[in-house]
Amino acid sequence: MKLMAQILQQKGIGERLGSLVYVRTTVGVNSRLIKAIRLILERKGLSLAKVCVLCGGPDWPTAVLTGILGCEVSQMLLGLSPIFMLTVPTSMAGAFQLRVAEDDSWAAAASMMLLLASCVQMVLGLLMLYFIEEVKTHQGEQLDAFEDDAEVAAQDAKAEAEQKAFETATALAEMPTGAKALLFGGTGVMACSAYMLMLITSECFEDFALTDDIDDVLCLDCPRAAIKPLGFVALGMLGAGILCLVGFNGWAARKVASRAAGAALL
Amino acid sequence: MTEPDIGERMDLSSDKETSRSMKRVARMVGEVVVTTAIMQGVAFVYSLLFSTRFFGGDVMRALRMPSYVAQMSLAAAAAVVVASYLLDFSYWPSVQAQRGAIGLLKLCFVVYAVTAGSSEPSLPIGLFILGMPLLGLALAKHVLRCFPTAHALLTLAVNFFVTSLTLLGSYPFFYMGDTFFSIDNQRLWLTDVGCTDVGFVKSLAASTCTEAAFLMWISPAVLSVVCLVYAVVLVLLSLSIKNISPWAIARVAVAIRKESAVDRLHGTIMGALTQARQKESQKTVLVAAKALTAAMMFVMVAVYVAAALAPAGTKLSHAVISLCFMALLAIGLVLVSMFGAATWSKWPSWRGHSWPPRTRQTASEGLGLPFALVGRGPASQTPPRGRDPGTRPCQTHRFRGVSFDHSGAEELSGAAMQQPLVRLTFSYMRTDNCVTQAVCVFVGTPLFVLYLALAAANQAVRRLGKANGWSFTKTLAPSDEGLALTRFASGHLAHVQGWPWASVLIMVNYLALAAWVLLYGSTLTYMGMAMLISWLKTMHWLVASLMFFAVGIVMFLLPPVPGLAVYLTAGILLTPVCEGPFGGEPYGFWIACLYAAFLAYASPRPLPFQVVMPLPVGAYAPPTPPLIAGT
Repeated sequence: MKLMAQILQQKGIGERLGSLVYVRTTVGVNSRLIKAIRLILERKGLSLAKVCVLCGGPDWPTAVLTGILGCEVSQMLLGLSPIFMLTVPTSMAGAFQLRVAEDDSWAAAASMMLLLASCVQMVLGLLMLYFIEEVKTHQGEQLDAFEDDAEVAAQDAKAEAEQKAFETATALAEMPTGAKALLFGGTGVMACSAYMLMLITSECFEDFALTDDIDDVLCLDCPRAAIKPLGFVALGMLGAGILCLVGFNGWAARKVASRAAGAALL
Repeated sequence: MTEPDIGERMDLSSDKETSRSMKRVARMVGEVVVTTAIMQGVAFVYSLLFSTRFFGGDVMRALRMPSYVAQMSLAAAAAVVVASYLLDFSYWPSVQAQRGAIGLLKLCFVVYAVTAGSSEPSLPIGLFILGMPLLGLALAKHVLRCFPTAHALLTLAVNFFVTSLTLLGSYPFFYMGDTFFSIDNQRLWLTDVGCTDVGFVKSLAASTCTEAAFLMWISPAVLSVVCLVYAVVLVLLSLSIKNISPWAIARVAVAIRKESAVDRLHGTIMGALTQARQKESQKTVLVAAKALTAAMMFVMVAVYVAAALAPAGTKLSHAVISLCFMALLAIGLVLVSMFGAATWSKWPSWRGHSWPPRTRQTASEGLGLPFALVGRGPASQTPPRGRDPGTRPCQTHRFRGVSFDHSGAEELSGAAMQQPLVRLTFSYMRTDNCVTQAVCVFVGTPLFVLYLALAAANQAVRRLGKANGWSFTKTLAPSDEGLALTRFASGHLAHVQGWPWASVLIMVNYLALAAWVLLYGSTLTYMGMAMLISWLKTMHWLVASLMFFAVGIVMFLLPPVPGLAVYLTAGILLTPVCEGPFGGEPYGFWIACLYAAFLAYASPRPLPFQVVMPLPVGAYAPPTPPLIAGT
């Protein structure tokens, strides 16, 4: 499944997205970080660095990035082949958890399997960070040999100009009170909703594990309701924050456009 | 009586010297033994107190006290911190007062950690994690004071290593047989200690009581790893410490101040030799820094992995994260203690030099610099800022060695900055990019507002102090009197005011949205997976496999879904469905396990999904952007 997902994410999502200049700009294909990842991924064969990037990186972003960078599928599958070090213990942990009621030792075995998977993930993730930075540090010449994506470079320059125009148009000193209220109020509400989610999760939402029964939580007033009253408050604040963000972005876009039109007239 | 001749006097003198040496060695051995006994004793007592086999039940019963005790302790700790800040703790003239405030703060935290154990079971173990390195440093300062700093640290490192091995070795003794962490044993034990919430029967999603039991069960292993990390950190610190003779500095200083070209050349060569020696030692420090970085990164990635474990065991994840942060805090305290206090006390800081002094500094100071060192004595034994050192029997002995311990902070930080991961971290910590600014705002706004409020109050206290002639507050400079905040806080506020606030706040919004997607999106995913499991588990194994595969692929295509959740679902769903068809007991289960693991890894070719998107590469590949064309 993981290998199949890699193919679909790489060919179906990554390569399609890679044709969009905006996506390539957002990913930062001209940055040294992405060039370092590309250098690692494009090496033929099964290198430790490649395995660490493909198996230790976050699933979706890594697989899609390989598509955006136009990497060879067979080489990516080769690099991803040691992923069984993660899939086997994790699947085993799931299977063992079902037998906990039969015998005590299954609980310990399930925990050990989860810890094993965690250790593998941890080591691979750590090594991934190390190898990327190592390539950036010691193989700068090879990174410099990669030509910059001209479209992306142009888009970067355009984005930089747009960003400057945006910052000028949205300078606090010139911003009307309504826009300020939208920006500061919306950000405050949105941040508070996130704080509630992060700091008092158990007061807002019920903890849920894969082995739990879904029927226990899909209700409004049962003891284990998935969303508690404070959770609704947090979700409401999230909605209000999103509305404010959309409203402010709309105002800012109009402001930038009107300033650009004014400048063009001059 | 006849006078002893010269030979006899020499013999007597030699005997006295030998006797003194023997006494010195015996005293040092005694100090090592005392240090070892205290550290091992504390670890042993802690193991007994927090083990289910011995006194764990009694401790758990004793610690189940009303939560207001813990809350009051925490409030008292906060009050001490705020009062110390407002009253300019670092400017107090009395060391005893400073020590008293620190002692009070420690006491409040200890009481909090102990009394909050019923709601936060990881805190009592965290107390050990935080306390052991501090105990070690206290022993190094008081019991091992006659040792060179590097040797004292090495002694502590060996002790931590032995503690680590002892804890790991004692694990089978503590937790095998009738105290094994089994469900029946847990139930019995929890009922015995008076826990009413003993509903824990599956997985690791435990109640607070069971979390405490789990922590007791796993504590020898956790503490063993933590002690090992401490041992590594202390070895690295000891390696970074160097002895530099003040006479070498004096020679350079004298030579450079002479007029002749030959003497200047001599001075330059001496300076170069000093530099060469430093470079030589930097190689060792580089290795040390690498290992230190690895240890720190290990702990931080452990936090990340613990968070990833959340779907399988929320409480376990929570406990691991808490313990990892405490270990990080303890390592930070050790580093600050070593590089802060040690460097401060070892160098005549009133001169504003770095240590070791560079050639230009020795040249500018001339003989004044070595004389300052001589006057100060071996600085690790000398309290800073002219405070009375009291009687220190080792001071003279140490000074005869004419060497000064240097904490190596500059070398260690320089070597650490050569590490890719450290550079990566610091590059993201610069506040001149929008993302970092947004993270600062998102995470730090409540604290920053509190900081500004306290800074305003601190400034008001300083004004009062100046008006009333208080000696314990900082004397305000005329240029600072008009400030509403302290000069330090005013600088921070001015820096923040220059940020592009609209862009930063929009990025804060996106960060908040990302937090929602990652945190609650994962929970929704697990709920979806649980629904899938309950729906498919009654179906034929082939249908269940196909359906799970299809849904799993779709899940993989969604950005916030972590792979581990899908793999875990494979085991939970497919194993019971396939066990019967694959032969039942005893081998059917294992074959089903392997089948689930295989399906999570790859798929058999006949599955239809492999041909869902036979993408013509040319059609979807990017239009040969220069980045790709460049290869």
